[in-house]
Amino acid sequence: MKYRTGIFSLVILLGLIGCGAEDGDSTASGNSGGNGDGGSTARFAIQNGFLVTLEGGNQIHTYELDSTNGATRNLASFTVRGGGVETLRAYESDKLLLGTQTGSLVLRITDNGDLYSMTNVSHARSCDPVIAVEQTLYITLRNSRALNCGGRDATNHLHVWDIANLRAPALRASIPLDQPYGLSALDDTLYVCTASGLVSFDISNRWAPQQTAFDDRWLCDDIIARDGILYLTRFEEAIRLLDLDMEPLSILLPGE
Amino acid sequence: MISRLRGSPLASAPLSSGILWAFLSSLTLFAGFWFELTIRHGSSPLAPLDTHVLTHWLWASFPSFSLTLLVLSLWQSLHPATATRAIVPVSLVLIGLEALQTLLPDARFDGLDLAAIVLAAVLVRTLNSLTRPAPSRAPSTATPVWKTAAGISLVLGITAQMACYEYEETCFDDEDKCDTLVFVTKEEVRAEIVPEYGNNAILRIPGKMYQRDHYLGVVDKHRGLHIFDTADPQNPLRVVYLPIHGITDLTIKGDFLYANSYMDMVSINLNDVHQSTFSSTSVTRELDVFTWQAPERFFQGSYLSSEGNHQKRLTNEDTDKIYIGYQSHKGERFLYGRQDSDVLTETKP
Repeated sequence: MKYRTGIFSLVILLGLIGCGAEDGDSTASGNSGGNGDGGSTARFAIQNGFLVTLEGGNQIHTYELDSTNGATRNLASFTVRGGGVETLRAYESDKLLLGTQTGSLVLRITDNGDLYSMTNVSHARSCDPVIAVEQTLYITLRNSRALNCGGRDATNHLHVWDIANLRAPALRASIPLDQPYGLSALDDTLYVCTASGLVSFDISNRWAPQQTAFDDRWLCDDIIARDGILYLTRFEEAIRLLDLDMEPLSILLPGE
Repeated sequence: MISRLRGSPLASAPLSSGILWAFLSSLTLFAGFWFELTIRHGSSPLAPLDTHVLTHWLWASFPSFSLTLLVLSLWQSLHPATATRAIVPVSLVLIGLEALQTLLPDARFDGLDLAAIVLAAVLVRTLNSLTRPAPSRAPSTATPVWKTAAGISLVLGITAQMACYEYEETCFDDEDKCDTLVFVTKEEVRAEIVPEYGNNAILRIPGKMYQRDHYLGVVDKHRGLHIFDTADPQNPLRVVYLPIHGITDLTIKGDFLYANSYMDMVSINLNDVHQSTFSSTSVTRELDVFTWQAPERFFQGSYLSSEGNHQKRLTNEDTDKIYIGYQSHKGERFLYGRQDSDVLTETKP
């Protein structure tokens, strides 16, 4: 709560392109595309019938899709001012969540494939995948692991933001973790990859995650929790399947 | 004091010209960094710098700094009367020479060199006002300072320039000592995708995942996509491997998988994959929608090469080539910034 007034700000980052009041009629689900899940570090998403891609740290392209032959047609390209965008994820039926180095940005995609900014949750410079559970954002902030993540001084936290009112996002919790990265939620459990292992939280109270388990055997960069299985990827090293108690099911190693 | 002010406005209005100098030098420094970061490296100007890159940049601009210092110091010691007024024109001439370097083959404009010149000029200007003799004293008392400065910068300048010459001799004069870029052509990238069914394919660089139903897609970074059937999670079975050059990201909608392939967007009909009715019509490419990274990106620690200066300055004018790394003059191969000789099948020097 102490960050509340100091940290967040509402900044419209993108130009107000196609800002008319259009109603999204998409049936797309709230996760990252179609009815599958590409994890919290994804840079491609399906939303409102469009394919949306993130290129570099600031280029967002939208594509129209031909469902009969799979052809794509680049509709528009947008530049996020300030850059530093790392992840892209579908949210609700017509929105996109961008994890940036300075915050999380909620964009709306119109029926024309145009994008405009709805809100921006700012934080200190870190790298941050982001996921949403209903109207709560879970953002992991980490410092090193990769370049440009704010250096050693950057914050290492799980942030919980209430975005029920997109015009006034509120930070509800800030939990220190060891370089948290990818994260995923399944039912009332939130799983977070950290530099020292996999952590799980009970989020039945959305704004007050309670840590329920920690397993230092499982290092991961991203995680997908679905259908009773935890899919972990440790970039360049291994893919692991665990059960919901974090016990190993199988492993896919390079060279196999 | 009043008369001095009138005599030489730039030299004698210490406060206002000091501010002007500080402003100009900050501006140039900022412009230099901004140019390097955003134009050349495509990253955010606010992003923290890799220390190796920074060191390299500073070292690369050091000759410009010491050369400016040398010329201005010599002028100060040889002809103190006109020296202060000469700072600006001399700096401008040096900046002009710097800009002319763009015309040389294998050379390129370095924004930080300009910053270095301005920095040296500011240093001389500051030293100048600190050591300025009082009006009553003889002007010659200041010259020993400048002789020392000239001497030091001469040594520094020669050392730095020698390093440059050595660098040019190793690569520019002897092709065998040059690192070479590793690239693939667009034609190779766009070669027909032939699925490899069964469990023979090898996962090299696990990357991102995509999960749907009881299938798990695993990106083999820059190489392709493995699709595993995880219906039995204790025994995932590789259904198929799709070689998609340059893939890092994917998503799926309906029957189609969408992935990047260096500069192209590829869509693949998953029904055809699963029903083994795959043909060339199962793949659609939208050409040239992504920008592939500049080759500098592959050089860890510097934009030349990982060790020493054996890399010719690179020009990325051949739009048909996708640079994926380099091979050092010793034969080691660095792909995507990491040492690995076994990552790709399509490499060639």
